[in-house]
Amino acid sequence: MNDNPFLPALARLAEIRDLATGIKLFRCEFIDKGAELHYRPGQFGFLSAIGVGESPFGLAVSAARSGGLAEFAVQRIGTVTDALHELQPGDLVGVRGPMGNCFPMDQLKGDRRIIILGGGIGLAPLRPVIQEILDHRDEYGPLELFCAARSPELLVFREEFAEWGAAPRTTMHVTVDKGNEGWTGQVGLITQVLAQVAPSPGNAVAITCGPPIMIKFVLKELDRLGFAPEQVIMTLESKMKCGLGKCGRCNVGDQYICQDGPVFRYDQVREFLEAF
Amino acid sequence: MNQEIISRQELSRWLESLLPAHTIIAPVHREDRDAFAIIGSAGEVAWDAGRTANPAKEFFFPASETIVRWRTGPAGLQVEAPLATRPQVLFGARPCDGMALDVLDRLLLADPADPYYRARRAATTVVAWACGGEGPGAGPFEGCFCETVGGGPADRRFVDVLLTRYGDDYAVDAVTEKGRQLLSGAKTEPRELPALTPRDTPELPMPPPAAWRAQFDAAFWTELAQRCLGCRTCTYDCPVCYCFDARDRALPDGTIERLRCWDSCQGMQCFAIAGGHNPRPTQASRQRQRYMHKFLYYPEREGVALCVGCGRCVVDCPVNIDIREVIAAIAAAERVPA
Repeated sequence: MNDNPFLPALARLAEIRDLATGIKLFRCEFIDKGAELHYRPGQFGFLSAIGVGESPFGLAVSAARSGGLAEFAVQRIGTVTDALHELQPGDLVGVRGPMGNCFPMDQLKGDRRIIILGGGIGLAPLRPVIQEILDHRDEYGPLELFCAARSPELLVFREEFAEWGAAPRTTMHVTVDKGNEGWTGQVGLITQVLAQVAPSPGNAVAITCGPPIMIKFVLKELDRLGFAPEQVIMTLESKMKCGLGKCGRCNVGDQYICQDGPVFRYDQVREFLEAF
Repeated sequence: MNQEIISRQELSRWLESLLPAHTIIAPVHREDRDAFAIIGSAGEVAWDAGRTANPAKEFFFPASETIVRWRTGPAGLQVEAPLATRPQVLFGARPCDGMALDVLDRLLLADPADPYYRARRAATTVVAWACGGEGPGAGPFEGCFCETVGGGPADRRFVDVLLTRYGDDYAVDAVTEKGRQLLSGAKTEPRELPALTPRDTPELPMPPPAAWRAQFDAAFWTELAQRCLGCRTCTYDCPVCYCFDARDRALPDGTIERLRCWDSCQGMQCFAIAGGHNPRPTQASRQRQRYMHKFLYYPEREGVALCVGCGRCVVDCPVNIDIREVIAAIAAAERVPA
């Protein structure tokens, strides 16, 4: 351990799994066991491609299911993620974290209906929430999952959908914007599916993550369905260089996504949501 | 008023005596401007310098610095963070330069502290010159407005020693223990001196946070952006703009360094994320971010404006965008009922 929050801990890539086209799951085993992350669903960390740079990623597995490894889903989309995708199992990476706040799991407990809407790789930071609920199924109310992607090849964690859908009091909706030859599932935007299913806002909470354009229209649809801003929770992303509230880029109004977020209730950030 | 006085000659001798053990930063004359620079002898000090073109920020928070270094050694990959520890003296700073450090301390020393800034800050003693003494370079300077943001020309709160100029002599105010210790090798003598008359500056009241909040969607930002070139000069010349970028580089010997560098909210790519999404895609949204950060977000988080009223951005903007006009415009908008 060190007291310099900018110093990444060294970790070895124990496993690299293809999640979808251009999206890999990196499981990072710390060289120094004392560096293991103690975190809650919704928190994030920085993953370094040493020699190229580091970027923030949501921790993609619940701590209980992590086996002490930090797990990040990484879409190949820029300089750092290009470099990460070139790495092989056994290679060294740097990890900093955990950072940010977490989903209010305690407030989700009880008989509230929980609606989770994940688009593309935006499902990754929601996966620990889903796992936490499934692992303590009796403590939470009905769960309704909406998993979406632009195409079937971009659906992440598909092999886990069967487990999720089979859980008691759990409903799954999987949709893609555009199907392909092998796709027999639903085709349509997540907002269209949401409008069709039309979950009632009574005693419900909606949690969403996805690309900004998706969040924007999901927020609109939830509003149309009668969800109050206080009933909508989202996790936001931003350019970040520190995760410590110092680098000055991730503010939404006077709140820093890295420290006050990344998890926000819609009413907390509505006034300053420039992102959408 | 009876005060301890030090002559310029004695100050020079004292600075010279500090040089072997300290890095000394002082105003020097450049070809076309005065600037803070590391001096090699007391003779380089520009005693009649006005406000330096550069703020002292770079000596606490360099434009570029290594924050992480990875080396491959016998035991495998080693990671380290180089921290500066050499004692330094910031000499000839103005009260607003001292205030800038207090403004930055609130963010950068807050838990978890920025260890690089903290190391330089702890190693530094600030010996300031009051504005408004007698002699050339006394100030105030074009565009400055420290009172608007709670400072003042003889503000002693954020410096270790405050010197007030009386011709070739300086009244010495050793403010902190750190300052007193540094001064222990300097010879001073008591003398009766007249109190200085406070300078007369135009009043520019700071609108409250709510007034800034109310203008979030104002057309004003677009009008401002039509003039702005996005050149970033205002942010680099600012003593308290702190936003930074970070990236890695590999050296020929295999060492890898992570550098952090000043960044600017006025640059098009500052907020853009991989994949192309940019939450602040227009110059108007970035101009708004600059002023809202300074006068709404930072005050709400840290209790003070992210501005010390030094006026550097006022004189350096190539298209004459004047932060005082922005403040006045927000104040004027507040007076107009919606």
